[in-house]
Amino acid sequence: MAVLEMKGICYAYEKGRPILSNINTEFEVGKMYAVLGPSGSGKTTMLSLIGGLDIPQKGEILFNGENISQCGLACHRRSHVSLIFQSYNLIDYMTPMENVALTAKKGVLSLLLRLGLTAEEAKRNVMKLSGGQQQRVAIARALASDTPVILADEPTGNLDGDTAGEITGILKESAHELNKCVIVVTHSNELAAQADVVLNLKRGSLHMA
Amino acid sequence: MGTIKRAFLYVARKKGKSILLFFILLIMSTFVLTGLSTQKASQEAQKNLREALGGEFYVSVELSESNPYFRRVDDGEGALDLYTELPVTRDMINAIMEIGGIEKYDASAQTLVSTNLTIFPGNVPLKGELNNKIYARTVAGTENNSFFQSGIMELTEGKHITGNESNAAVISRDMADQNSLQIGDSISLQADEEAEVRIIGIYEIRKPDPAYASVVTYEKLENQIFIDTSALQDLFGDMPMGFYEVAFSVYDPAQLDSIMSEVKGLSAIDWRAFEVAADNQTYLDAAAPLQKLQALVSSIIWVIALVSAVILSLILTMWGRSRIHETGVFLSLGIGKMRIIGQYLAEVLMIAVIAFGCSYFTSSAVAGQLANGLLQQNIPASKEQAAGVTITKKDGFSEDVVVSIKDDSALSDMPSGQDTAPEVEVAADGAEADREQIRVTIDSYNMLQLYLIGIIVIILSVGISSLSVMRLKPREILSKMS
Repeated sequence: MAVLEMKGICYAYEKGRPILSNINTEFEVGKMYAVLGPSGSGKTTMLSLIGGLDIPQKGEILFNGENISQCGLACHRRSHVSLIFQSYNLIDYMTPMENVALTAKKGVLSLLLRLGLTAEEAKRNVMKLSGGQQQRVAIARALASDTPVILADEPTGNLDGDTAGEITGILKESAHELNKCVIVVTHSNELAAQADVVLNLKRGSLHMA
Repeated sequence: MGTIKRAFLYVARKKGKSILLFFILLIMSTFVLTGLSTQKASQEAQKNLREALGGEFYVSVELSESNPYFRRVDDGEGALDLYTELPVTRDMINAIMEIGGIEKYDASAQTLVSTNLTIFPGNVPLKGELNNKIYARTVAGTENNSFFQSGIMELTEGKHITGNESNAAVISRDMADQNSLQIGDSISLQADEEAEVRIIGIYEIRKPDPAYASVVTYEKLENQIFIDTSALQDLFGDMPMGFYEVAFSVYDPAQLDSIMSEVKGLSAIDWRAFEVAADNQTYLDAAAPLQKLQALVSSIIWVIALVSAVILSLILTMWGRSRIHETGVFLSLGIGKMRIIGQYLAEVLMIAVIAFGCSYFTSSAVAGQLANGLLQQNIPASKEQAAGVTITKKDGFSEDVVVSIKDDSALSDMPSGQDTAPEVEVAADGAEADREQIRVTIDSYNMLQLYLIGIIVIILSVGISSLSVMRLKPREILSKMS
């Protein structure tokens, strides 16, 4: 059953030039989705709408069959979806443990250890970690929130090939083993190749690859 | 993670900003606390001054045609006799004295009488019979009489007239010695009729007043005979007995207006026959520098609070812009805007609690100096003051500014005819003993006021500084982040 559903979604930054037009698609748990598309095609906009960061001008987004505006966008972001960004977006005055603790109360250290950080790294200032380690912290924060949907915007964009591969593996594992619905917006064909479903966003329309 | 913990982590980890904010808040709170404590000290000093100087109001007979009891008798030879059929009676005085806040009263009326006593001639000559007349001063009581209150006269033998006696008199030691009189002896006085009065007290002249140095016979201090109202009744037979003017002293001149309103509201008195007038000019003149200081400090507190709010808002707005990334992350994690503002508020409050506490010590150090400086600015340079009040500015600054009263005894009622008011001194000198000091101390009430003002300023500042970011949609914030 679809955990997320986009029904007739339309969005335009300028009148008469829609960036998303009549998007209809469903996302299920246990699968990793990759959304491909050229720059400016509306990938991040689509992710923002799913993530409750913005409101579609037309259509509706359903979570478990209910419009996300029913419980409120802040509630949707807190309880239904977790966001992972290309630039990690960690809180710079906190340690990795404290960053993850923003969304979880327990199991923080074990989650970070499972994602490959050492106990010492978990207590260091987050800005003193490498890019790959910071992205692991961001993924740990997303996983710790225990939401069924993880939205990732170019999660490997700032990482080298090996680290990107590891991060992709973690996301895939999260979808398959933790039964999450992982939606990744990316330019990377390598990442897309690991996804269960690949969607192409072109000229405002979404197509199955 | 809770709001308070996030705030604590920010304050603890961003040490540079926290220390800077601490000093900003410390300076602001020092100024506010200094102002509050100076204001309180000024209020205290005014209160002490009021209690020391007191105030007076007079109830006097309305000598005009609007008084239905007013009488004008023309003897046909050009002499006019003006009198009232309703003077201020003892019953009226008692009714007024029942009103709260009135300390004492003084009522007297002088009457020229003849006597067979040997009297002291004045050094200003008069024609005819007047050279042989003296003043019989009818009093409600001698103890509160201005001559005795001011220390010019002092009862040295016998007792005061209290109003409960009948045909009692108090005479001078000089007159008693001159005429071999003593307590218990009777003397005869004559006006319209003759009256016998018994001597119950003898006074001595302690402070010869220059105003009485060159006077006619009946004004010589040695010739003054104080009598009660029953003696006056005997002297004038059918004339209505009472006083033409009674002075009432109040404890607090600030209450003078309200007390006078109550007096005027007494239905037992026919107010068509009397008028009520205030005299608290001495207090007003002496308190003027303190009142100016208080007004100035009140303005300063408001200005400091306003400037603090503006400066704090600007600083927090600048810092808020640099925290837009953090705000966006919190929003993306589903943390509500109010909780985010709550965190920013908690951060400032955490630092403020410490800074406000420390301002106790900094304010203690500067408050005295500042109060001295401000008060000095408000003390007139000239010694010439209205209504005879002298405010002296001494050279140099010292720790305490003092408001002192040079002569306590001079604060009581002034004798009739005397124009000089007691000398009140405001000085910046620490040497004299009998003075009220403006001591600027900081107490728990000032601290409470500071915390209240501080919290309001901080809430306003955080609210204003958060507006620019919080009115944006989460996506706009996130796009600003990238």
